[in-house]
Amino acid sequence: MGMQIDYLLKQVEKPSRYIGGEVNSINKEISEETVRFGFAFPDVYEIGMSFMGLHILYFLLNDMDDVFCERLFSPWTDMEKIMRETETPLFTMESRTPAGKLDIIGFTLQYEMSYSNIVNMLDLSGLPVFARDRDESHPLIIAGGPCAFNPEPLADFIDVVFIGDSENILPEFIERFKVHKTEKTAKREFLKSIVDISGIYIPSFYEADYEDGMFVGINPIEKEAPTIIKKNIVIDLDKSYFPSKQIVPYADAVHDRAVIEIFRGCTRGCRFCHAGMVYRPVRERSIDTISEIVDNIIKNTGYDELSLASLSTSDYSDLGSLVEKLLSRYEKERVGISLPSLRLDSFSMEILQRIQRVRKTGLTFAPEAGTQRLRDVINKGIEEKDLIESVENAFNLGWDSVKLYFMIGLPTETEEDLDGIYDLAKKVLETYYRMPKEKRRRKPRITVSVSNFVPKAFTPFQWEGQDDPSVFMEKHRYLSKMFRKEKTIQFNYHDADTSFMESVFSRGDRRLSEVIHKAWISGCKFDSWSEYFNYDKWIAAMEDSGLDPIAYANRFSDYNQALSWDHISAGIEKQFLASENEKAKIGELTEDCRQGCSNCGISKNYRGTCDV
Amino acid sequence: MYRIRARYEKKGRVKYLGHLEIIKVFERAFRRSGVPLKYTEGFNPHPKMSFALPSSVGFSSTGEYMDVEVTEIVEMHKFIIAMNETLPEGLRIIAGGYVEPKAKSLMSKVDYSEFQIDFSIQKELVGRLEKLLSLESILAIKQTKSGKIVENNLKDDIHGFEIIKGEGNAITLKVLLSAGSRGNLNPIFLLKGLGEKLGEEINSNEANVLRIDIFASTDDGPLSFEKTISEVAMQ
Repeated sequence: MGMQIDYLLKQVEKPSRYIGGEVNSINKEISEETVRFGFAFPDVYEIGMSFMGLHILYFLLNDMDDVFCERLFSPWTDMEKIMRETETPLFTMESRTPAGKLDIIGFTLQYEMSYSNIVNMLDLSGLPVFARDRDESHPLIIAGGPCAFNPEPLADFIDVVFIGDSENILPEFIERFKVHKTEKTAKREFLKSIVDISGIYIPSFYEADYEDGMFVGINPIEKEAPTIIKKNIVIDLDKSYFPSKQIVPYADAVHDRAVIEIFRGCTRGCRFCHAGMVYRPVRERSIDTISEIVDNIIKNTGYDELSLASLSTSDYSDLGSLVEKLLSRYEKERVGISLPSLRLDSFSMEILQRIQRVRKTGLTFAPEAGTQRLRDVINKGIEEKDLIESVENAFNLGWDSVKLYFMIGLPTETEEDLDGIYDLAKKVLETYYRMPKEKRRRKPRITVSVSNFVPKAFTPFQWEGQDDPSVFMEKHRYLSKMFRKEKTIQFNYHDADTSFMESVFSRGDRRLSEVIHKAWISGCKFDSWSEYFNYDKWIAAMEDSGLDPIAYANRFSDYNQALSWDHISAGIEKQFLASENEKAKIGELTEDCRQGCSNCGISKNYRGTCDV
Repeated sequence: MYRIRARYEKKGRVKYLGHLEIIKVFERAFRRSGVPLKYTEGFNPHPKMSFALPSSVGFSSTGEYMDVEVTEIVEMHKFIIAMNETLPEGLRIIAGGYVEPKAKSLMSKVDYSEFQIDFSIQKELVGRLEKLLSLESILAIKQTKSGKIVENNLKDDIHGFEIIKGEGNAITLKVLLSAGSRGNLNPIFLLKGLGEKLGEEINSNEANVLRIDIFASTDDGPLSFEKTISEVAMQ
């Protein structure tokens, strides 16, 4: 196969996407006993390699004896074309083994619009795409990641879904798989034998019911299968696995730097935020553990930039000391530190001031909504004066490039809220010009990015409707017109049709597997790439399956309506989500968990894990 | 400030790395190896490196050269061992030495590249290929960047050749070609031109190209870049 791949590589754009052999990537001796695992990222190399979870699971699995974890990515369309012409199956980066020869292929579900790529990768591997058509000779197809909390749209393709964290259960799963492999037990028996592992969900063990085309419930059809699948969590991040290395990618990865997860979960409780709800409770890694890990990663990769990753970096309880420690350690070695997802407060600004001695990066703020009223509705506890003070500070410190993120189509939004986006951006601009002239070295660069609200499962807004694409487009026009007269403010927005399909999948049921399959047959793939997303094909696939996309994107009738993810538990109670949604309607705030417990259900369902 | 000149090879998977990717690989390898690099001043400091006409994506090479500045002297064999321990498979430093910090830029001194091209061609054509290469002129049509069609004589840029027959239809062509800013002939373009003259397409995607070395032009003939290392070495 080596020769053949060489022939392909000479004909594609960016061949370095496919070569493997990067620093810290692993090659192992393969024996009969080796469990061959393919970690599959359903998008191109540059995106997949930027995903921290890939590095964690890759080294976790490869640290185990008798397991060889290799990587699989979606080949870009030029490569796929030549692969199909030459009948070259999808192959692993490491040993260039055809994916169909592996024991397990594990897909990570990072965003809904990658689903058609999963089907495409299975097909490129020469595998039947539907789980029901695969037998003992085929690899086991597993999946996990944020979108796995509502895995139903993929139910027909995937054999095993991991709900929640998986670092601490993968070893147990692999051990049991090893027994299954050596004893050659039947696949279905193996699947029955693993349902007791926390967070494991076998879609084929459940059957969904519909009445008049409406989803009404889902129930186990195997006696071993639990009625409710509780997500799995890692309790102590200090004791949990984190690699001392990262693979250093070749082709330009989107995030090409060292990264350490400083905590998991978020205490803020923004009502639209999926990650903030499903990754509760908040769990911090200690400064000592972080510095030890970072030391190894920097030494083993040669990176000159370190990113402190989390959902809301300024909420780390001792961020000041952490940053101080890392800065004094790395200043001489010229390792820059970047803090994604900072909040707009004076404390964060002090830290930024320290950091900028090393390197200055662009600043990003996410007020999310244009008015205080709407920010209260979504429980984004940010006030306008915080934002203005922060950017004022940033400008004074020498920054001149600020990105502002907003969401439109949020529940209760009115025209006033759209105007508020413009007003806020304008105030930011004015703040710049309030600085003394000698400090204004050049024109500021202000970017306003608007995304479209997508109601997500397991959030307080999971019952809310989404604006029709035509309404979104109307709002985009309205805002564009306002921003057109501001030459220094760059305005951009997300495609409305893509957001519409995203909302179909984020709250979809298992009938959508057929839709994904049909859309893929008609040519859909790389749907998160605007040049490939084909709305008409998706709508045709929905119609062909007798499904109405609007029924998925619309407001749900009431809190009692059955949800296609009711059999999965993210640890937070439905009742809590409902009460949050009610509070949203009257703009009532809910405290940050660190200020007081609002009884979301996590501490009840995972006793002793929530210590804020 | 001291300047190291190193010759390295590029083989296997890494031959598909673009030049910017190679630079990044080296930057990080230097950091991992602990070599005391000299950085540029400014907001985005980066190490001071320069390369001599890096070979194209898809070519293997045993003759790649780079200069890098360091803040203190590292023993050369230690430098080579440390780098080779950390470079990814396929990239390996094979020689190195210190050169004058003010030595002329590497790039400006390149005049020739020597290539070894493995490809296949019908046996009967080998004799004709040999004859063709011995002609005074081999005219080939080329489209310039501006889109103009020009005819040029490939022979002007071929400074020596040797044909070695292999098994079956396999042959190896060793050629010394013009390279650098004063004239350049890409071996893929050469293959294309030769194929046209022979009336038989040579599939360059199936050809393996190895750049053996690069040379500077001197009164005594082509001089391997590796010689320039010892000539101006300070140690």
